[in-house]
Amino acid sequence: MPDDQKTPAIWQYKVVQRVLSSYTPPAAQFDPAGAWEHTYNIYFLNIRAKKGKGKGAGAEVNPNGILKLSSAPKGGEIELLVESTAFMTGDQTSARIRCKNDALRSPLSWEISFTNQSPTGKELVTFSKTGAVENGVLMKDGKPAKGMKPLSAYTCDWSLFDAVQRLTLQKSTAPLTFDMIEYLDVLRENQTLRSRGATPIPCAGGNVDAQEYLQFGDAVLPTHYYVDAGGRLFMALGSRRLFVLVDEKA
Amino acid sequence: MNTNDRPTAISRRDFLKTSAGAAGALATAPLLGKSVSLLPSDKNHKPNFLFLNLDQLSCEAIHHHGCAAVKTPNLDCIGQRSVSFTQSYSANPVCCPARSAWFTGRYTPETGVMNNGLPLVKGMPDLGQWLRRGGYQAFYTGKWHIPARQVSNSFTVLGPDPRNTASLGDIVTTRSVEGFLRNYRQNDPFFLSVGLLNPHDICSFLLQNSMYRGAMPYPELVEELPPLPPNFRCDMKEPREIVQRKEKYFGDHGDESGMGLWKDDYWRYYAWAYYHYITMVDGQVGLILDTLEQSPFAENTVLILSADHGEGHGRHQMILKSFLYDEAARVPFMISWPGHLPENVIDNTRLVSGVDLFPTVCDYAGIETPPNMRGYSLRPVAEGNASTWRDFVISHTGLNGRMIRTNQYKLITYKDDPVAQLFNMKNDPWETKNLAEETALASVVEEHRKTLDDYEATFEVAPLPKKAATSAANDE
Repeated sequence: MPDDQKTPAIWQYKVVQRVLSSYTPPAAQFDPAGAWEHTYNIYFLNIRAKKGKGKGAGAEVNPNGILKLSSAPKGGEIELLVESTAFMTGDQTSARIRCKNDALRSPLSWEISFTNQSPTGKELVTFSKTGAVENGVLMKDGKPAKGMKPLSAYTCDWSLFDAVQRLTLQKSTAPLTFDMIEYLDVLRENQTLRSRGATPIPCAGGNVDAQEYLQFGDAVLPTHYYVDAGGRLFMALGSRRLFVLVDEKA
Repeated sequence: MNTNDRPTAISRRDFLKTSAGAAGALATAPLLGKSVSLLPSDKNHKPNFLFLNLDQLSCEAIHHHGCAAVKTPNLDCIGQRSVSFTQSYSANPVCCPARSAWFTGRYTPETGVMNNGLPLVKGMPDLGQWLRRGGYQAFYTGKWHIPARQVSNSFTVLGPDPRNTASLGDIVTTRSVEGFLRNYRQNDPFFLSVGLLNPHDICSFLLQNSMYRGAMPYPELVEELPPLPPNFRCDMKEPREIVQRKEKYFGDHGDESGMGLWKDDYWRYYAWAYYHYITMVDGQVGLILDTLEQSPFAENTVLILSADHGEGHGRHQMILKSFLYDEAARVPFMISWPGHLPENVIDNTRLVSGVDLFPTVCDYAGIETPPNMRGYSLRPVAEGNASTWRDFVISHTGLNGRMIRTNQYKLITYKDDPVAQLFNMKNDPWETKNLAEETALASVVEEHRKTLDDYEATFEVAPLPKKAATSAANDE
């Protein structure tokens, strides 16, 4: 790319544009501090593009799974419910998370369960476990997790979907720094989240005015979050996974 | 190479030799851990096996192996508990072929899986089938990727369909391992193969970042990018397939090419991304390790960790795999068994191959191997009491490329290509000086070529399907 050209945005990747070409923002008002439910299609971006005019070339991009997040204030805290389903592999992860009502929606305690089914519906693997952060110590099934440092500012990957909707970060302000408990199990340290400012993103009904936030950190490929003017996270893209909002309930 | 070194008196045509280097090898493989006491391989003491196989992990790209730019605390933890063979080569550095060699103990001209998509020959026993006959329960989860062999006919498949594990990432595979280790209650010993996909996701980099046209898109990251490798720019003769591959990728043909546009920072960003994918899968490895430690099987499970192939990540200005430079062909091979194997041993000397997995597992399981195994059990060398070991290892790529690695040299040749490559691996581990045309080394080239020819002449070569893949190696 010539030096005098602006760096393209990641949503200009044509597979993302194809998905966004059918995205229409919800018409209703949205209150990120209230009770809400968001359902996202998860697209696992392909290694190689289909070329030419053969089968699959330029075809519609099909989702590989669903992520449903429900958030609601509860006794001064936030309760976050998670359901993640893969379409082809038959696995389902469910979590109920008590979060602090703070900027990062830091998880306080949780229950998580996993089920996998064969194509015929037979359960192959199923189990549940619990976790918590107590005095900065990550606990798993009631025991301190091995070899982990005390946590101060921290969140989990699912909480971040909630947190970015209420951020007041400006492009000029210092990034947030925190650790992230991925899948409520794997500690990813040295995370940062910064604002990249406003950007118009072309979607089905015209441009969506979005605030862009960008996450870097250990074991995390640059991850972009896009929040519309109503305060809803409508797209996230990092590594090979693309999340696009498909349903909203208040 | 003195071909008389081959101990032809030894059965199985095994090319082992009483190695003068063996004592030296031990000297470079310090035994830092506990004393070794072995359980007999009888029915009552058969160990379980956990085979953690990662996809596209170069041997060098682990902190424990000296890579400062990557964070791999859990792979390091396994390394500290293991004997780690750093001169371990993929039998054919691309997914399907390498996996066919793991699970049959045969090199890819014999498995028939010379390229991705080519079928495994019928009737060749695989490790799952063989262990089941020997009284083991064989389980599989994660990526399989061996064409024409239905994994569920050889293993009990846990969790997701191995054809579809790419859909939501390695956590799905890891969760199935957690579920298994929490719930397994049978008396039979088990073999569990866990195919984790990453850092293979680096394969999406070209396409997903194509619009950046080789310019670093994240100025915030420049300070933390790893340096270019010492062999990033090296002027040497390369085989035609490598030259053509570089022409293909360096040309500006659209989405999947344009590497000729890549600025130095962008090459460094590619390596940075690769290392992050490694750290990503390292976390999954840690979760599996924690679960194993808390399970009833912690003390009686042999843990083996390897990768099907490596990744170019800028070495020789190459990316991906399907070539025979060390970054693609050399992979980790760690083996641990608490209380039974030495710990924290890095063996930088012994030449190891993916075909060694099958006989190694059989040895610890107390099961005879099928006939015509090409690999050898690593048990004697892992336990520190081997007096002999092989003096060369080979690898293939596509239908045309092959490699022989001896203690000092590595020869790479391609069919009908006059350009060969000879590297002195002792003096030039980054493979920067092609010595194949050095007059003084002509005999070394010929001896290596003859040894490779003679060895391959013993193969039961699998017939290729009429519609075999292209002659060039594919790289997905």
